[in-house]
Amino acid sequence: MATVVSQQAITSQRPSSNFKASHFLKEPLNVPIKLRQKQFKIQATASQAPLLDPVLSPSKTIPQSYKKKSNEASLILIRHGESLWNEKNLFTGCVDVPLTEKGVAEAIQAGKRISNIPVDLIFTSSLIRAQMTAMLAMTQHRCKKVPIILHDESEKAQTWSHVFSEETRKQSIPVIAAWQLNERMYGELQGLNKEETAERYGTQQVHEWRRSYHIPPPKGESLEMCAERAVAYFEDNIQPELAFGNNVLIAAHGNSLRSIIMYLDKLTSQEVTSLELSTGLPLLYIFKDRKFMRRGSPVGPTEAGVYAYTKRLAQYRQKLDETLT
Amino acid sequence: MSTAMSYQSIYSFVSQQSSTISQSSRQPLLLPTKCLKIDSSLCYYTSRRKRNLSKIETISSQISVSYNTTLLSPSKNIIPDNSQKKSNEAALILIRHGESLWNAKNLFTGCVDVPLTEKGVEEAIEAGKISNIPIDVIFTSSLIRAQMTAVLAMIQHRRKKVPIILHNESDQAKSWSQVFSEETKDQSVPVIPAWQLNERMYGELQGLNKQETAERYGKQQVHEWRRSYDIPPPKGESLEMCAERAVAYFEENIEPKLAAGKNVMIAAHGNSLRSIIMYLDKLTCKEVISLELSTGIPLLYIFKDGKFMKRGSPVGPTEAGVYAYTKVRHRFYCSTIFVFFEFSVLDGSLCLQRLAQYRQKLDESSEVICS
Repeated sequence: MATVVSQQAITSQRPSSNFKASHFLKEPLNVPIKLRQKQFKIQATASQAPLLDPVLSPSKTIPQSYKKKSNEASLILIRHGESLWNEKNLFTGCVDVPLTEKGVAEAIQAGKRISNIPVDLIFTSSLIRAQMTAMLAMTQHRCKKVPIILHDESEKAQTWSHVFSEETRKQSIPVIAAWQLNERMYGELQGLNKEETAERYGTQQVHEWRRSYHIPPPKGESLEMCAERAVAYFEDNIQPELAFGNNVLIAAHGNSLRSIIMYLDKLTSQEVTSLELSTGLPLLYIFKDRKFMRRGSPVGPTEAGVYAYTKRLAQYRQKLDETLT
Repeated sequence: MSTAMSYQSIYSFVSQQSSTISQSSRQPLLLPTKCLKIDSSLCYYTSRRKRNLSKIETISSQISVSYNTTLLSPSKNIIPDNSQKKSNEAALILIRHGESLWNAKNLFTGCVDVPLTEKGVEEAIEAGKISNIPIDVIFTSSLIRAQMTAVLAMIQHRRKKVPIILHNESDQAKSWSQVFSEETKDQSVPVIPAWQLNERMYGELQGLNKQETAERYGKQQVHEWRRSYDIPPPKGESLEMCAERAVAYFEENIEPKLAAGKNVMIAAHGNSLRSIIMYLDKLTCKEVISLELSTGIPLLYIFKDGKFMKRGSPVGPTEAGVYAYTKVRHRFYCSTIFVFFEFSVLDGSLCLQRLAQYRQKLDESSEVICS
């Protein structure tokens, strides 16, 4: 808990830092941090000490001592495109199968659509098809910041991936990979095709697993179970960032994103089972005054359509236009 | 020493590739048109695996380089499956990932997990020209630029097997990623990420650009870190340290697969691959420092009877001849290779003998100490 609070105290002095990524954006400190409410000074030194431990779950409520970055934050959700098993019509679940060429193209297309929307932080699942989608999409982004995947699987992984330039860190977008955003785990159906499955278990049963909210396939997760871990992660880790004013991109999967949308739009379990998310089409939400407002899908750069930007987003776009040719 | 060379083909090949030749290579080229067999005696620099070596031994060894035309023909399956199982031969493909976002910005990357640029993505897709060589298992580093390269290259693969990344980070990760169909498993190629294949960890230089670094530490010092074998940047790894963990991993985990007849692809980074090549080709510390690996161009080795034989780069389906030059900056090699090509047109045997003598001379005059 002490670390959490100290982290938060630090961030209050640095309006541009993030919670989750604050350990990334800060220079490593030599001395342990003493907790103080205000007038907190950070002695950034060139000599290197171990990083502060990343804060895994900051509290859900934001203490008043925070200086928010902004009152409004954008949240982009992208479902990854076609994977090699989608193509072969196999149940994928948590098997780490990569994208097809088409999936790669979908990711790039998605990137073009969000190229004008600010992104400060990226969350993905631990599966490569989501990570690739995020990385490919960001190659199209006009801000030219560099996504960097954070590694915290071990202490060594953490120290080995440390960035030693303040300027470079500022030009980076931390990418956090979380298994809680993984696709729903399909248990014993993983790797089977629809035929095999219908033969093994019966068409009726399979339909029930796929379309119900509560019933898990053998050794797998129900949509309810998937929603539980995905939404919990969202509330604990992603929402505080939005509350602080950081713009977030989530690249994940059909079921984990549905679960989050169920939370954002306050859907019932019946509504969520019939919710279908298009692949590769980014969905934009604005988080303001602790509410999520759906803003549809950003239009591609060459399309004429009308789409409700907020004033802040319009200003961001203008800034990009001015600074980049 | 007899050589069966088709001078015609070499000459046309040489003239065609003259521009790249000037970049020089110390390896025999992959000649696309005819079947060749070159026997020669060459002096080899070898270094023993123990690092506290005070002298380099030179040995003469027979190089037998045979180019199989079917290996190069893009339209057929190169190594049929059944021959693989019978013979104790396995293919090893090394691919260095293409341009990353920090390469483009000229920043020291090391183990920071920076993704590919659009160009890097294209390079990875291009590397899919390995599409005719069967692959049974893939090893990558734990960094996304290498994993993306492997996966994008495999999209082009004609066999249409599906690469699947194995997750071992926790029990849950293992059980959650289980596949429950035998048939599907047969159609899969496991991808094993390993931090030991990561790029050399660049310590306090990670994230700095060359200017910043020169200002902070001095040009001389930076040059030393980048080009020496055993001097690490502050809090970082020397090439020696990188080689130690990469080669150890290779020996323990990858070589047994090859010995079992499995075809392996490794998608990794400049320094980890160099280290492995140092092991495969038995290079000295000095040689490995000047070894440059082209990005996105696969290098093929054949593992047979416990030995590694370099086979250059597999030909792409629409290209007349592609080969992975290792660009060697060392002046000795530049002139040596130039000599090679000049003479090859006239008299193959002479060139290689001359090369051998030149290398012997080099060996006698300099003593490389790998500490």
